[in-house]
Amino acid sequence: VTQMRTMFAIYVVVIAVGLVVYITVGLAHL
Amino acid sequence: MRLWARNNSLSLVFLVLFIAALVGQSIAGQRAFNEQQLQHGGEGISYTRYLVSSHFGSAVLENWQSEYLQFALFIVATVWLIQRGSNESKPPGDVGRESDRKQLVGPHTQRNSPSWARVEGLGRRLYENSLIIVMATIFLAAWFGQSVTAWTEYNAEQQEHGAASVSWLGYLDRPDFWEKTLQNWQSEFLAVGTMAVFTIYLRQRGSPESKPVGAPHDQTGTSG
Repeated sequence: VTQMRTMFAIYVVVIAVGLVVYITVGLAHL
Repeated sequence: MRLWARNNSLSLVFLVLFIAALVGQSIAGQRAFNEQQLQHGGEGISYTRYLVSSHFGSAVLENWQSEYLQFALFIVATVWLIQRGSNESKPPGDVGRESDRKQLVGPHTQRNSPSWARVEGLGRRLYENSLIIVMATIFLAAWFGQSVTAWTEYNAEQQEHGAASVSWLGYLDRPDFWEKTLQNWQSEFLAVGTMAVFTIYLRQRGSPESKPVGAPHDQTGTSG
């Protein structure tokens, strides 16, 4: 179970980082 | 470690492909961006600056949003809609949310079922729909991200041409936003429909995305 949990966490982090970084980039020019 | 890699090979390979393609996109994107800047008498930007640019951000997120929309729609559409003979569809008799017994919830849980399948009420309601909730949330966040990064891009271009800037809501009303959005959606919808239809008659031996090679064409939803 831990094995799959690690992969799940990696995907969640990759997606979250991508969304947060580029939403911030877009809003930074406000 | 070796066992870990084997047990996770599908997601691992796609993660590596994703990173490789993203790096490739960023390298090509920076060059294309700088070419355009130089043509317009501007200055190029560094690679690291390009990585946190609206140009790169909007290019990444406009593709993300359409992929997550595609899967979110497909997940929810296949609850209610069917394609007879398709590997991507369930049989016509199973349309809808299905019985608690078939879904292994409430009193029908197994020893190792997720604990959220056992509880009653809101907790289970959320868990029952957690996949669509998360996929739809990522879609909406990515689409919002596309809108703000492309908006910044749009205004930079407006400025370059001595035109007036537009507000975020104003940008959502511009054809630029909808062209970027819909050009991604159309390809996803076509690909999803194609998977639903092609798996009626075509096969890939060994793939769960296909019916078994010898399965009859009118047999619905039986991965092989």
